[in-house]
Amino acid sequence: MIEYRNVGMKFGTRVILENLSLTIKDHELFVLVGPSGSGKTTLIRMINRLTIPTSGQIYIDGQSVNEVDLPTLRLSMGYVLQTSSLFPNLTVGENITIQLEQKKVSLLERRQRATELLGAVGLTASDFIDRYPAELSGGQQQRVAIARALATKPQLILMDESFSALDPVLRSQMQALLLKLHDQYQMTILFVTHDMKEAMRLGDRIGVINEGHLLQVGTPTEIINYPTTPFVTNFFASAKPNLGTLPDLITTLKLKPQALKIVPQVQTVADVTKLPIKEGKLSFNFEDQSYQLEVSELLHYLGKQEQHDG
Amino acid sequence: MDKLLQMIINQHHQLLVALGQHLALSFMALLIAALIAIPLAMIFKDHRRLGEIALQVAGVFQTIPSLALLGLLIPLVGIGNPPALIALVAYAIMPIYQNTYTGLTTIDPNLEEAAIAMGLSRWMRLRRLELPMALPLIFSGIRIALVMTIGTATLAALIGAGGLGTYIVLGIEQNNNQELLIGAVFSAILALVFSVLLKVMGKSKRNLKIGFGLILLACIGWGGQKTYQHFFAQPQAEIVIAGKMGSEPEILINMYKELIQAKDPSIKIVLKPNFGGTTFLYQALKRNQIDIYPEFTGTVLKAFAKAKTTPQNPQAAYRKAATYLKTQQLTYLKPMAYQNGYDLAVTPEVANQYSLKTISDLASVSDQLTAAFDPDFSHQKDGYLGLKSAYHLQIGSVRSLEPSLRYQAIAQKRVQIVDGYTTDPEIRQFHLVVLKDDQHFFPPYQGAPLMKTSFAKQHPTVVKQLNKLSGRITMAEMQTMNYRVTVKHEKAKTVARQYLLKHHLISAKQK
Repeated sequence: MIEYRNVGMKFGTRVILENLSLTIKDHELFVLVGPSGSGKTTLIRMINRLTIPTSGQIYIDGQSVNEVDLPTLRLSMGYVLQTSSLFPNLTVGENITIQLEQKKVSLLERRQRATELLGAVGLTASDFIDRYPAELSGGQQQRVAIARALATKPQLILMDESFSALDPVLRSQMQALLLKLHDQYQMTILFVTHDMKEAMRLGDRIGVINEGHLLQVGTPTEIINYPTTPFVTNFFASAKPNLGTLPDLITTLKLKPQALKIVPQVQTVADVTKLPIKEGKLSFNFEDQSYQLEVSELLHYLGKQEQHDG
Repeated sequence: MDKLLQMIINQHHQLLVALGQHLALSFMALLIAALIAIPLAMIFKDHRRLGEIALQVAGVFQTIPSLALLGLLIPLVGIGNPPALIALVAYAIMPIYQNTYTGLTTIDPNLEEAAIAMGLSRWMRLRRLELPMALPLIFSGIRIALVMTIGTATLAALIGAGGLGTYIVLGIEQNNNQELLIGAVFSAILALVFSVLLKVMGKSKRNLKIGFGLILLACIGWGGQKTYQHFFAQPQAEIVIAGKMGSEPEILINMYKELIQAKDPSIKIVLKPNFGGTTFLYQALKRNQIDIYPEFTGTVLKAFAKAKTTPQNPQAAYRKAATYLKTQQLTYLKPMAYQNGYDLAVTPEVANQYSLKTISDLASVSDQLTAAFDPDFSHQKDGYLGLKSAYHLQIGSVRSLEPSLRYQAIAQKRVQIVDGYTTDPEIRQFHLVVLKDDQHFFPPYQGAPLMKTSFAKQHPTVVKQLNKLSGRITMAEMQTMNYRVTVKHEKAKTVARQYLLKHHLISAKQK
């Protein structure tokens, strides 16, 4: 359990965080989300004491982080940064087990652990273990970085915008991987992001932070359905899937009413997406007119809506 | 080119010794510099202000001209290897330090943070991450230092540390392009070869390990040999005889050795030919680093005693020099016959045409002739300026030429008169005619062995033997011997021995 008790951070007169309290439960995947400059990275860095708060304390399992020996503290948790931050002079295997090397674990054991972890993050160990980071793609590098964070079997992993530099497809894959690993190992994960969609997808619970204040803490459903402040409402508005309206869809795709037998009645675009596909086509009835469209047309339309969201 | 190859083959032993000295000196300097610079950069990387200051200090060392630094070090640590090593280390520190420091301080801060956040210790970060990441830069720093060190180490010859510089200094002194080429080409090759080797070594971890292994082996081997010499080889009382640059001192010190050993073969004598310039030798003698070296009366008076005027009479000049040296606790033995002072020489054609024998003869015809003089000679009161008024010379045109180029100019008949030293081998090589200084304008330069008074008292045999040369060796004889060594590449030892035998100063049955 991680507890922030009345934590504050000031640089001169500039207030980064003010009197912030937060509890993160064991085994949960907690996402801190907020716009850049909101103080979320400062919060995560306080746990491994890269940043020292100017007031308040942080406790892990009831013990103040200040009282823990620094190497012990840092070796007991994993850390994944935005860019992969793999060490270019070390092989993938050496990168993954560098903390174990510090802990004087034998070479053989380290090698075994690296092999195991590469498998866990979906990379073939025999192919990757002796390669250098420069020979890996961005996605592969980030997988290795996650494997590295798992090396010491930590109870806690800190992730600071870990997927932000990846393209949408890779990001989605990595999110899936993270969820799978969390399921598998049940460690506590504190994940920082500015992407509310990422927060919705990953978080068991989400903390929304803005300008140094923690605005709301809750499950994704709570946050999206019962936002407590206008900022939270606005921030998550675009996270709701925006599919447009059916008339919108019909005009955009220039669909013509057709004479079709027995087709299902629909009210929204979401209904359309759930229709059974017959020979690559979807048929529906809307306001007493029947329409038919290719699946590809629908996908094209949805893709456009996605772009409008930005 | 053939001559060059021939010379390399003839002198391959000396050349190897010089190469060895050069390499040993350069590598020692490089190793010490690296052992200072790299840890320093490792300490200062976390104290940026101090780091920058250290960079400035190292830069200041870099700006001191190497010759000046060597000069400054002599009074502190004497001559030979120590000052050369110190100077080379001082120069090599800067590039190694700068590159190591830059390498360590320009590592991606993201990586540094990741390493810190993961709880890696300082030593672990340094050993596993920072040093390996900075390695390419460190290596390029070492390579820069190496090339520089091998180049600068040629100057070590000037202060008696030997090496390839000996060839360069000799080549310049004797106007011998082959010697110059040997020195320059070999040091260039040395620099290139080791630069490439270092580059290969920095390529991969495996090469690095092999490289370090070889260096370690070399160090152990070298150290072992030195230790053996130090503890097991019987140290013997020995006499060190040194000479200035050039063939003439080398012939003379070989004669000294033959003469001393003719009387007492058990005395161990070490010869240090081409040991350095006048001041270096004088200082070395005073600091007991050498025991004997041949010096000229005129040089003693001008360079050491700083006399404003020098007596025209050779005997008077010798007495004055010996008297001064006595005040310095030095003993100056009796001089040889020949004079090695300034002279004027003309081409045989001109000498015939105007029947020139003396400088006075030159006065009436001088306005029709052209001369090439050493820049010093043409502007000094005891050179051409004084000569002009003493003999009422009106030489048509006078050019200042570098000493090495003067003889070339007269050989190609571009000029008819040159200045020079009376025993220069070129006089014989180009069949020049030396004009007699009939008014005794030039100060007398007679050579004689110089040693510490305490040494002279302890070694009466040496004094007695060396005095056998007093009044010996005429100017023509010395010219011929110089010619044989410099132009014909005969060994100084052979030439010296033959002279002594011919004049019954030693007997043939002794080896």
